[in-house]
Amino acid sequence: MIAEIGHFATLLALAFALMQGSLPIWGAYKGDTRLMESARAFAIGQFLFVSFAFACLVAVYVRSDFSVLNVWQNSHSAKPLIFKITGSWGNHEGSMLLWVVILAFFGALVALFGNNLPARLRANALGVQGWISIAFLFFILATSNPFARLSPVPFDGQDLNPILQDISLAIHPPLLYAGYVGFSMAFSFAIAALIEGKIDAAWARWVRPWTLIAWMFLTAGISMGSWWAYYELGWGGWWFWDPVENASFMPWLAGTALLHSALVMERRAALKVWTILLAILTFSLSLLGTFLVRSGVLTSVHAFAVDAERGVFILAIMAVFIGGALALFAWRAPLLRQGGLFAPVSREGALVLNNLFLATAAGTVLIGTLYPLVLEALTGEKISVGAPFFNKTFGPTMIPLLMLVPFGPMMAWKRGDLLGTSQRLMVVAALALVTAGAVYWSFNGGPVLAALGVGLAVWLIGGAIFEILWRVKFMRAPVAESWRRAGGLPRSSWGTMTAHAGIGVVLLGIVSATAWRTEVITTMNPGETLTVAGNDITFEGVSPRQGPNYSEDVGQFTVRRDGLVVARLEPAKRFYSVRRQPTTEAGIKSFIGGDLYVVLGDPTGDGSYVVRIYDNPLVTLIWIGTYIMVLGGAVSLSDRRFRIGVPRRRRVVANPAPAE
Amino acid sequence: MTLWIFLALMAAGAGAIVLYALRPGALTMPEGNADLMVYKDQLTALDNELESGRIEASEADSARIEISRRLLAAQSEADRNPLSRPKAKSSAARAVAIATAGMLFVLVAYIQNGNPDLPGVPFETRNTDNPGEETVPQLLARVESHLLDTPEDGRGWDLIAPIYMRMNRFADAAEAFANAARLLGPSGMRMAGYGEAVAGINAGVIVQEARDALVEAIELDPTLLRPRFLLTIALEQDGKLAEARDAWRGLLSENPEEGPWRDVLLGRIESLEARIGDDPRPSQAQVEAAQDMSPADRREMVETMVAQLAARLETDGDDLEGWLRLARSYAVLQQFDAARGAVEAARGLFSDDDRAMARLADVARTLGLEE
Repeated sequence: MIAEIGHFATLLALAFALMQGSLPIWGAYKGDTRLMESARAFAIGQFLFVSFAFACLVAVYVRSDFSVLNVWQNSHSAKPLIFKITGSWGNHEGSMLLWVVILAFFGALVALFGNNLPARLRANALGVQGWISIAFLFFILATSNPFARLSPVPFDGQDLNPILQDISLAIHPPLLYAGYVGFSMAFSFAIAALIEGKIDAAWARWVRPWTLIAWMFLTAGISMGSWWAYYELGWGGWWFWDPVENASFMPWLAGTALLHSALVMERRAALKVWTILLAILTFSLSLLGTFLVRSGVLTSVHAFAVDAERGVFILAIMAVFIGGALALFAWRAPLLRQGGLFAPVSREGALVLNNLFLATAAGTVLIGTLYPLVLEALTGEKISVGAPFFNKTFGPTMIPLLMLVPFGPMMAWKRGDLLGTSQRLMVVAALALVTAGAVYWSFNGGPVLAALGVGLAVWLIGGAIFEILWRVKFMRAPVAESWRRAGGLPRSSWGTMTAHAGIGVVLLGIVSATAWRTEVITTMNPGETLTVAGNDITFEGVSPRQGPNYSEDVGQFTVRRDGLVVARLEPAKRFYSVRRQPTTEAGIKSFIGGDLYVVLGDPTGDGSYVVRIYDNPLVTLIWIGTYIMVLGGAVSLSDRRFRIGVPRRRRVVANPAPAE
Repeated sequence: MTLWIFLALMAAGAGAIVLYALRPGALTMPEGNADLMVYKDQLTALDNELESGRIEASEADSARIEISRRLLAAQSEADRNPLSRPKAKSSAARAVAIATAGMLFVLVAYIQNGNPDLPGVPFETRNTDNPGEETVPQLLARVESHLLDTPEDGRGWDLIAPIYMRMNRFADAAEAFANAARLLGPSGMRMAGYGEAVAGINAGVIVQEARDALVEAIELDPTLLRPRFLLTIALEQDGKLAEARDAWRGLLSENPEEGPWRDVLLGRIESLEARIGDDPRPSQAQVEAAQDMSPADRREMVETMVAQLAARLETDGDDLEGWLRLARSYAVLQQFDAARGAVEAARGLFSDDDRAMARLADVARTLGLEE
């Protein structure tokens, strides 16, 4: 019965979406305030019913009701409760429903808290949100209904793919979706502005926080996915340029660009048309990401053709939303008034440069991800575009961008002073170069690029901190004065500093884990000891263990440093009996200097085991850094006031800047 | 019935929300003044910043000039397009109509797609309709622990093997069937079960080990249908489509009574006919061999196959698909007279079958044999 209630609730949500997508926009066109206002209650109603439907889905999972097809396909009565719950979105149908839940949640937030939005803009934006909901709910009900039933009822389920039975992979999709869907707000506002043919001043005020929220979720989601790949796949790597990863990385790059251009728009009312286009493109890439991963295209182009109904549906949704939005943009964008002017060397100019590099990087990743798919679809030839392509194209795009990061926040709005900024940053540059030299020297002429990479990381972190020091006039004013100024700095400045420093921390982790990693693959007999990067690792033996829905062989390793036991690691090989699928559980110990990572391989037959041991120096900084970036976003978000970039005036006050 | 009460309550709640959404007197923010408000907010914020000393007086001045300029522009824009404050002209009847239409849509869609008569079956409540009887998991646990203590009890393995099979635990099932056969001697059922379990382990591919077991099962008990069914699927998996079709037909003629079996067999035969019927498709082995041939050899191989088909139809002409295939093959070989001959011969044989005549005409037209 719960499944049927869930099905009915999904249909009710679709009904609300249909009303939300039509009546308010019609009202905005006709000037009918009552219809315009109805958007808010519709959005809230849609959220109520779609989240109720999702609660029903979780309930049938928890009760292991195998009369529901989706539960039978993805669950098992012996599965631990937590994975029964997370399994409800660990599959195509459930995850699509979760997508709509998040979409409706954001829509409801606009409905509840959008009091200061112009009524027309709010009605149109919620209407566009309604269209997205309609497309997805219709897709779910027509081709991927999570409430489809089975009769006769099978005895037990087929269990969830074991590699998904993991807590961080359970959190990963909701975070990622919150990111993707958050960008839908920027998209809806962009389309609403295009429909009306004007951008209100309140537009930027709304779009930037939404973009920031989406960006934070997406950053955390990607980071979580990368961490999962690191400890679960057992290869010791943290990013593989896998198409699934790229699918989430492209919207992140575009979203980061949007974040910065929305900043210009909020503070200086410039770059309006570009920001609108970027909002459309970012959400388009989010749609692409969702569908690439969820349609099965990535595992094989042919999987797409097998389920033709879904494939065609997906293509149609993408064509309508991306094509329609771009067509609307081409038609209506010329109506939008251009905003504030600025000199090439200025804060705005630096942010434009940032956008150019990020857009190029996103384009590069897009080509590298889609080219093999297109080629396979057209010629049947299978090629793999892997790390070498991305290292050669993505890397060179990012390095100049990262070098420019510290300049941006130091520049004045409207008119910047490149020479002065460079002179101020000399201290940081010197610090970075000295660090690079010291690293090079201490590793006896270690890899030059790695030393320079560390230097770049120091440049980023130092540059971020220096910006704050400079703003509070540290050392140039009495301590009390600096303290007072620090208290008065807007939180968005602190957020910028934190996020930019976070990139430096990530870079430090990437460089050191790539350049100074140790990898040992060998066979070990029980009792044998091996020394890797200063750790004496003793293989104590292997013992079997029984889990709730798996059995495992656990290897016992004792790690000593100078005779003292510093860690006991238990890497394991698990076997999930229902799916007949093995998984690898790495044994990881994080020290301050880096991770010791042990993987138990196959027995060789004579009592010894294949063992892979990695020492990944500072690798944890990659994830710590991304969370510092997220923290920066949160700090910036807490600064709720609408700020204006104070323009630097020309010296000749008698000749003011041209009117806008 | 309880379900319908729930659904009715939900629909009523949803309808109430729609009526609320379209309620009269919903107030809205004055249109267009939003821009002015934003700029006024900015001016206030600027004053606060200046007061707390966060920006210099000169910077505040230039910012104020810029904001004021935008404020003036927005003000003159507002003056130029005086707000015709939009009026709410909705009526209660319209709201009720929209709510009714929405709920009707949901109801119709649900009746078409939902399964209101299927009850939910949570795992814990399984088998409670037969109190006193053990649930299957309880039974399974008891037999499993019994077999742990006395692994030489063949009857226990016999009992548990089909249960594993039903639960898709194929490796356990294979082990159980093998143990039962070892302890109690092989029987048709045990070997058939073992073969099927091995195929299950290999994701449905009937590997050699499974085939051997299935053949042995038929030898032990020729009345068993399931192993023959699986061996025929094995033929399909090998790409021996014609052989598989003939085997299905054999099974069908031996089991003339109505039943689910019959439909499955007919469906299989039909799909095979369709796959074979498209063209005289050579087997996988022949295709592989043909790749190494010279073009002349390849043509010769095709011609031999076509000649064989023609010879067969000469003796057994009651095969429309065969005739169509022959005509197509001749057309591919550019022997249009022969193709025309095949169509004519078939017309002679099927002259009283309208559908057959229509298909022949169709094929003749697509192959360009007639104007």
